[in-house]
Amino acid sequence: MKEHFRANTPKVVHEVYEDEVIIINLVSGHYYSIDLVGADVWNGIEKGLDLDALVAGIADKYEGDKDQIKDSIIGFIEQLKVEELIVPADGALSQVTSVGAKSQPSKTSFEAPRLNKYSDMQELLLLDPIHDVDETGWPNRSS
Amino acid sequence: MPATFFSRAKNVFNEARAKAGGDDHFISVGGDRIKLSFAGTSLRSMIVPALKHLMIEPISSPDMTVFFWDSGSTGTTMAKPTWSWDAYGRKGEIEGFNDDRFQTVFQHGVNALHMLDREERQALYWVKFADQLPYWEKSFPMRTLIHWWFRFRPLQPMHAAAVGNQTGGVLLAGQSGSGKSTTALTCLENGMLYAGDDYVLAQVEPQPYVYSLYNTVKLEADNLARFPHLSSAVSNPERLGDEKAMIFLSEMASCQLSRGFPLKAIFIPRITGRRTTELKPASPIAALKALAPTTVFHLPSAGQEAFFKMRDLTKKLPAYFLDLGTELVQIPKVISSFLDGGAK
Repeated sequence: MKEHFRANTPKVVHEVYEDEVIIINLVSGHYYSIDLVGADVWNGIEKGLDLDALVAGIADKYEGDKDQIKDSIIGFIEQLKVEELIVPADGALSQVTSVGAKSQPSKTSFEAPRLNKYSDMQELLLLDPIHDVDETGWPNRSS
Repeated sequence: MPATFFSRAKNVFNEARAKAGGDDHFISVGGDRIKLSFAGTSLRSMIVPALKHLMIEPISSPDMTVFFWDSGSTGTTMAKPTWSWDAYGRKGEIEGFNDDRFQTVFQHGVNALHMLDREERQALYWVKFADQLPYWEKSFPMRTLIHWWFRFRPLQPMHAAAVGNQTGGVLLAGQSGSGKSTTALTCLENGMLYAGDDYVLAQVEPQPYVYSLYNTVKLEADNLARFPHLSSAVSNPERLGDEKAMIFLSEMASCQLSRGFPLKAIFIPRITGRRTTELKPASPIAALKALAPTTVFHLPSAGQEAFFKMRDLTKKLPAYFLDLGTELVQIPKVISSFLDGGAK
């Protein structure tokens, strides 16, 4: 699979600090955090790696079964797509192969990446839309 | 098109001022001097109290002028909108009326039109009826206009409280209910400086600094019992079933109301239920998580620019969890000790 992705900016804003990432979907009202393996996958996506390169990079950094790593990453990428945090990227694939910012002296055990989703802000975007105007053309006060 | 509408709407303000009279007030916000020009008196009494501590002497060349009026008390009819009903975005942003020069929103819940013409350094704040303004808008009036006004500068209104002493202060970041107000008020009670409990204007460059925006305190009614000396100053005692208790501090604590101070850290309050209050190191991303989602979803047109300012601030300042104990008197001691260079 040579498809690769990018962050869905400007609908999405994100920031990476070492092995943590915060992502805000400005359209849906949800925000997210990911860490460890998930942060490495996000970093890899940002670097323009395709699935094969992501799997190779993660397998290089973490101790685990390569098929399990691949399945986990496929599932994680699917989650990111469903939440509209990433979209297919145009342009050439990256030649970079490392996903993480730091190389590890010894491999740590692989744990499936997890997308933590927070929906407590969404209510701010779920107010009644304006659908009624008065004779002057201005919105009516909602009840 | 936005320029034409702005001009028409401003003509209505002029008509309102001629009919109903009015007056002007001047405030200093983030180092800028802003003229608040009111037609009639209804809206003035709802806007000015929260900003009273920022008042300055009249000046002839303000950095921005905001025109406030309501149709009800001034007997005027607002210019018809030149956009269709389906031009309103999710936060009320009006499609085609938001660019680098103009920003326009018909704000949900407030039912107010806010419009900024950055080039002319003028803004409009219009409501149909002043008495329909929700109480919470009175606690942070002009929040949207201030957000827009500083859009291209390293300043950002942030959903946070700020307290300090003569050496500097801390930003208290967290969602509603996290303990910001309780912390800020406890610090106020113990003689510390207070710059706000809900929204403050944070400066990222050249040095982290916080400017006060509002002298308001909003407290859940059941939390008011912890601060009995504030009870007599509650401005909405008859509506505490539906509204938070709202108190304007400009009269009762004017010497502790600060217009701003340098920032030394971001604290993230957490209610623990334990007796003691403690500081624990937090990651920059924890601080960003406490600051950014709530701020960007509150403010119309807040996106990447606002997020990046908050990100830059969290990169410049150390972050700590402030694990709040039930013995409130410990809270200001822990914060003061940090500010004075004590245990971290």
